[in-house]
Amino acid sequence: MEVREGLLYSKEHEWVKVEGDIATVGITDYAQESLGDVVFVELPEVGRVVSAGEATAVVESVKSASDVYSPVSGEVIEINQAISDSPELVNKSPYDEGWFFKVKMSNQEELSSLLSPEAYKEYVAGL
Amino acid sequence: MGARMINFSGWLLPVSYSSIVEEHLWTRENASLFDVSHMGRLEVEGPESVRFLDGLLTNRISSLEVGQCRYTLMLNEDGGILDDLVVYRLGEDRFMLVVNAGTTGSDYEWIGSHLPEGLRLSDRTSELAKVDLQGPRSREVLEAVLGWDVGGLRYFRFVEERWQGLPILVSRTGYTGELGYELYIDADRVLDLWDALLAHPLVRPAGLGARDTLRLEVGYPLYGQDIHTGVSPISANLERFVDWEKEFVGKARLLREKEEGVKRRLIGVRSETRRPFRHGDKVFSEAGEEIGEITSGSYSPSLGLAIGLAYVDVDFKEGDVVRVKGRGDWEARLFSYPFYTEGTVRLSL
Repeated sequence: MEVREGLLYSKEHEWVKVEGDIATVGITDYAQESLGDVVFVELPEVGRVVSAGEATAVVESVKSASDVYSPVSGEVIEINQAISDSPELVNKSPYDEGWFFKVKMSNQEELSSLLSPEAYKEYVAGL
Repeated sequence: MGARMINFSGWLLPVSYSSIVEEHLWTRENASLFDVSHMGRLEVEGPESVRFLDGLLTNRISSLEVGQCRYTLMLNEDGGILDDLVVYRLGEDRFMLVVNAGTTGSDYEWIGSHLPEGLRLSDRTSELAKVDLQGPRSREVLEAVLGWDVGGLRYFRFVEERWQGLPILVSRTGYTGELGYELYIDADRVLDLWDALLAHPLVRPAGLGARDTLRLEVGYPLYGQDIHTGVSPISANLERFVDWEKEFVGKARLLREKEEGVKRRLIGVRSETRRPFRHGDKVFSEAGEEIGEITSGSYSPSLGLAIGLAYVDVDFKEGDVVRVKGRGDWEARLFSYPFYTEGTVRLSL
């Protein structure tokens, strides 16, 4: 299982990549592995304003369905249409091609409550 | 093997070894091996066991030859389905009943409570293991591994042979819609058989997840989910497994139901989207009236769209547009299953 350096993580198994005030959000390798084959993704509307911890997208595998929470507050400015058309990208490339949405953050202090790669690794090891 | 495991009716079973979709597609093209030792195996033996089973089960048992097996239902007095099972005629007066894991105990009690004197009922579940080899290439695999020709075996026939000195029963049956075999062998030696079959390059292991998507694509109901004591063979669309020419437990109630008609019946639901239907999702008419409920739903790996089974008001027919509402809310059409019709299950060999 890969936990990528340079990202922040939530306990709900989302990752966040921060570039300026833009946060790109996806689900972790651990999450895609636990879900199994992803067959459907529901993405938010661009322009939707979300709060940290809010259910923002849905990911469904053959066996189960899960919400994807936005780890940060702000406005959704971009979604990854490619995973709607090819949901298997979430399994194949969870940290690159399989990203879900980008949020223009309204409160960057929220980032301090997220986990470092080391802390997320430890967290997952304890599950 | 790195499998994902779940608890199923008290048995710890693999959901998948690699990925459900991969295992599913492999089964449709090659051959997959399923560990299904959780399924119950009961034996009924003694004079006139044929007459006893004919009175207890919906399908005809008396016309079975030794070496033949048949799918049937077992009902309670109210016509509710206690179980669906396959009956093997092992001898003139000896039968094996292969039943569901979750109902093995209650079936044993039910059959036992009706058992006439002179007949014997035994539960062989723990001593006799079962593995299924399923897929269009399963015949050549079986012949290569077992070393004898199964080519002459027709659909719903079985042979009792020996493998490495052990008795083994092989039936041409399955739950996937493909050519396939179910193998019964001494539980102490099943691992040897499992390893020998798995060593063949065309064979991969498959778990309960793929078993579920494979059976759903061909419209086989799952006991405890699509069928249960709350539904009858008529509402469950299983009337073809009822022989009306004989008496059996539950028949009087079924006849009345046939006369009066049922309110809801099991039918397929299909959507062009990939979003899977889930057990419990509600089905609505175009006018917005609630007309049914999904009992099994999934993404179909062979077809690339969502499929499901649902009990729907009988006024609605195949082709009707409906809406399914669960976590999502999406359009679908009622559909007469099977959804997948390319299977090799009935292939003449």
